[in-house]
Amino acid sequence: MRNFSTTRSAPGRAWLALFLITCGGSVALALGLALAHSVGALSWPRAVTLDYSSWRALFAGQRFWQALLYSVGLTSVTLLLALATALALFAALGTRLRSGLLGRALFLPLAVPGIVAALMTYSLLGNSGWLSRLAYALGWLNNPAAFPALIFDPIGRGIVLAHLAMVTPLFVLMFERVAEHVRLPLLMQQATALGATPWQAWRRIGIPLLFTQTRAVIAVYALALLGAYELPLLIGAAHPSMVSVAIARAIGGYDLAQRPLGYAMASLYLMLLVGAWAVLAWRADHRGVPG
Amino acid sequence: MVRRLAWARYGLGWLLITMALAACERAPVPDDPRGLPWPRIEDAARGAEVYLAMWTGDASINRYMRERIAPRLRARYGIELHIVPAQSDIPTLLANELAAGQQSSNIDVVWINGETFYKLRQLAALYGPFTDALPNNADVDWRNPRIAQDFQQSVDGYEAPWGTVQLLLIVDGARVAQPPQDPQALAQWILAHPGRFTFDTAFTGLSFMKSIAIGLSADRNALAGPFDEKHYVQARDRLFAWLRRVRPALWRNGETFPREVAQLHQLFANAEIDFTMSMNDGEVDNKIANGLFPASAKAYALASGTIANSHYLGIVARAPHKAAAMVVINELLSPLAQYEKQQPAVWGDGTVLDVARLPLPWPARFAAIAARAHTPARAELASRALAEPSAEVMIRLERDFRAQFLND
Repeated sequence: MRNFSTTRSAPGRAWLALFLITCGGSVALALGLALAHSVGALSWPRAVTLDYSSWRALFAGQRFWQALLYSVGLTSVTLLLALATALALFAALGTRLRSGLLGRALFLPLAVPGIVAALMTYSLLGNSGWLSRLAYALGWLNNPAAFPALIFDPIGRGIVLAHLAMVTPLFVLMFERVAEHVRLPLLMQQATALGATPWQAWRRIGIPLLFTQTRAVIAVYALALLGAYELPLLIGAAHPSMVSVAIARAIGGYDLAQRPLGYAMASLYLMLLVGAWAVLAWRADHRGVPG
Repeated sequence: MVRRLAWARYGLGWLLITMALAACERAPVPDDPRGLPWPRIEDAARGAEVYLAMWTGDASINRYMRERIAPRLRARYGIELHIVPAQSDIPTLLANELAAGQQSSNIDVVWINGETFYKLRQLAALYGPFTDALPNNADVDWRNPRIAQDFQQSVDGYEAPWGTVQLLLIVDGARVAQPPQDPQALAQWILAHPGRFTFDTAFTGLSFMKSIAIGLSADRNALAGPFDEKHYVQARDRLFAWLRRVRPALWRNGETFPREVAQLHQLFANAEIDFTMSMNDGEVDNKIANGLFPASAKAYALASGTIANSHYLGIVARAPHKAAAMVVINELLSPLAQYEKQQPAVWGDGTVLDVARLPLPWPARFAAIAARAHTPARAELASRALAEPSAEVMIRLERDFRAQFLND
């Protein structure tokens, strides 16, 4: 029988090297290049003069921190709404999501690319979009332009709604699979047989169990939403910007002098993400839970 | 021993991977072809693959390159033209190559103007001077300052002019019967029609702001010449006072602006606003023909003037196929290519050639190009053309606008 455990054989080392290069190596390389750009050291090992002015500008200015705060805010709101909606849908539909049309429909939004989602959001939620025209046709609005400004909106409602539509089905799917794995319906049934109300069973057993089992995936999605680019670029306001858009604008904007600042922003963002990942991994190791 | 052999095998594997990656970098830079006679340059260009980095946001322009230029280059010279989508990120791409010490660029030709030319000259990323070596350069209207100067910078043979454009405002004639003709009249219109006007925060919007800044001055040359801090601050303050006055009546109360001109066009096409604008003065006819704008749309230049400039083609300093790049640019400057490009149904871009000096029958052919139905004649527009200020004006204006109006 073939042994799939880690070996110290040469092929084992090669696979291990490939794994490390793919996972940690690419991040380390990206971080190294961004750091080198930020201090003007990309031509190393040729002679370089390090210039830290971009880092001083980063810490003295507001641009990065505003963008980061904005991204964290939109990500938090999106995650909270998506998790609550997914939980409600799962609680209401339960095993009906396991197969049939409902089960297959869950995969549909996952196949929609970000750029298509942005265009669909624009067509649906814009001031001249389908919803505004419908509201106008029903006589609820004096004119289509009176529809609430959800696109190019500084509060980012359009971004949140579009991400919500993309992420919620994934969470429903995830809850359904985990519930099946841990036999949640059986546990809930036993709890109610022992006298718990349905709400008590959900609060004490269902929700804690689902969230404990899925926290790693939720954390990964939080990071993906935090770094979202296409949707904020296409339907977000000119300002404030989410962090990826702010970095791209600093690096690719008209003012070449801003490029090192853009790379400093990218470096710091990456370091913050790696730090967050390290904290999550450490906590998971010490709690002995997945993730 | 077995272990040593295994490591040797892996070492060889890595060596092969490294060599494969190195091979991805294209052929080494050839000798400078400028001193060669033109037929030798054409010979050297045969069979080359040329990578042209350009904005690909307009289907008509893409079609012109794909269906007219690329086949002609293939048939005449065996040159394979590849279009690389890029715009304001061209300097970033080339700066990264330079900083990384890459000997051979992945790009041969770049479509640029203004601030991009300024940045590439700063980086010494352009090859030149090369325009004198092109046979078709003799037909270029170099006496026209709009062509010889790019954002107040002398071209100096480092880029070949390709076309001329002017900023035009576009209105729906069915909704705006009497379009305002100067900044004061435009302000009155905006205040009388809340929420129906805005501009983007990218290239076109900045060109609009520069036009207003100059239009608010008694002197049409208020921002002419090399960058002057005092003149810039005066013009900027006049512009920002005008913007603060109209801001509450702008689309979304001036709290946000479209990021790109494509978003502005989208708002106009959806009738959310009554104005859009374009740095391609043939765009309105083109967009109407494509069904994107209503047939009642029309373009005009403010009587107080709008920015007019040219766009150019440059060769990358480390381009691996400089001879082929020169042949491509020479072809794009040919009377045939320029004639096709100026036709409204093709692109509608103004020629850079001195048409009167062209051999027969080209002057008559250019004269016979169909007039644009929804855009004033080029001669009329020329009287309302403002010289493009220096590139620093654009860079400073963008930074100051974002700081003062977007709190960025």
